[in-house]
Amino acid sequence: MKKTLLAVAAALAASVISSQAQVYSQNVVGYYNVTVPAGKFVLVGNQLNLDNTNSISSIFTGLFSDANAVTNTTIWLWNYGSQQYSSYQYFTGADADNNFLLSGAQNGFYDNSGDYITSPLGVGAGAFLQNPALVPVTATVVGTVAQGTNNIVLGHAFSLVASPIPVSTNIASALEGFVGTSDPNGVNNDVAWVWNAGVQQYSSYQFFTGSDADNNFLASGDVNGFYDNSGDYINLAPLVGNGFFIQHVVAGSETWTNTFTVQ
Amino acid sequence: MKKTLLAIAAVAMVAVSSFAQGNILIGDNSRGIWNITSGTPLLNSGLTWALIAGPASTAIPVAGIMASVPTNNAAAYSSATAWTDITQNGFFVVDGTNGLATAGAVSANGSISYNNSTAFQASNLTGGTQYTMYLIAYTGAFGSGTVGWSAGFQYTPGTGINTPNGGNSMNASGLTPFGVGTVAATPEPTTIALAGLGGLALLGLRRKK
Repeated sequence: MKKTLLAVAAALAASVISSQAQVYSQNVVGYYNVTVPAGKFVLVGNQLNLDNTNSISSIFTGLFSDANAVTNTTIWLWNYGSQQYSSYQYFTGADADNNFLLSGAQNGFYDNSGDYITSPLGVGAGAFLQNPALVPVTATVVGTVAQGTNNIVLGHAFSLVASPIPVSTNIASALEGFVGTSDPNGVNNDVAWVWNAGVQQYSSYQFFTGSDADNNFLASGDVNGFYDNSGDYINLAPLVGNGFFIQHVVAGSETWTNTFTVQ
Repeated sequence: MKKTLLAIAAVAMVAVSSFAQGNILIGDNSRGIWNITSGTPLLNSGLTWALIAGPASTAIPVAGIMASVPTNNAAAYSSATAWTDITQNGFFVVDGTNGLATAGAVSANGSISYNNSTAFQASNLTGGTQYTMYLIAYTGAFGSGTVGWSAGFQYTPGTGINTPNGGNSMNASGLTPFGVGTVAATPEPTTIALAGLGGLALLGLRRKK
């Protein structure tokens, strides 16, 4: 899976250079690409704010449309309440007109009945893109980098999320700010489920504070972050444009607070 | 309204075919597998584990010996008998990432982590089908040496983009800590008394000579 980060990186770099003498925030607009290989699923994340609405039919461009509704790019949206997916196919307006016998349809996602879908995929949310076509699809996301304080609420069970900022670094780092629920006995810890597009499988890791990791893995000097079953520390740094699940095992919710400012 | 129902059906078939695989994620928490002592259990890195599966909601075939082997103070049991039972009643060793039977080393802290904590398709499991599973660990080669086992638990391999077993780890599903090794049975008082009588009798015979 290839990603083009140049645009965002260039925008961020330009911003940093231009503001070295003064400390202030400014809007940073950029884009990133996520390639979905033929016949594969990729767990994408929205890390840019397009228009404060961020409809799934608006935020992605470059998807594959098939007038006969066979090989269209399909989005699998996670419904937190039901803990289930909903899936919709992407059509260009012309293909939607053709397939659903419509007139003047817009580019975007449609359900099987031909209803145009405007469900949001907000900044910090994730979804699967499935590419049934025989050629790779490159989805492009355009928007503004979310600066300031970004709060992502993680309720009990599974939340499909992404870092709210287009940076690939350890989500337990100070920059990302994820501090989850930890249990010294390894029972009630938050679990990150990361989708590996190459093998089309999940990897899962538990969150521990350093002291809890020391206790659980009979170790010393551990730090906050994600660990595998054997106690190996995992640098959990999803690529730009990727999402992941957080499984909050215990009842109630917690908030992932990220503070990010381009100076 | 729908122009081509066939096309939609074709899409559905594509989706179904991509969801036909059964994926499992093997792992066990630290302190999950111990060797047995009569006192404090000791972690042992010299053990190998394997995952066994069988029909859903079925007692594991070694339950006749013990439902699971405790981590200490276990009653003496016969590993030879256990090896005979382990794959009885429709139970089998789950295939690993390479298509061969699962096997791996137990970590020094008593945990196991397989395939870098990444799920995989076990070729002899079916996605969406529930199984009774249990974990064994043993010294030496599979089928010989000392063996111990966990309690049985229910596990449903995942399909497609669904998390294996609904996101419930093997520990969360009932995989229990267990020990490997037999403790010499403590002789009962009557046994000790008989041994003492036998010894005295031998002394008596020697004096007569």
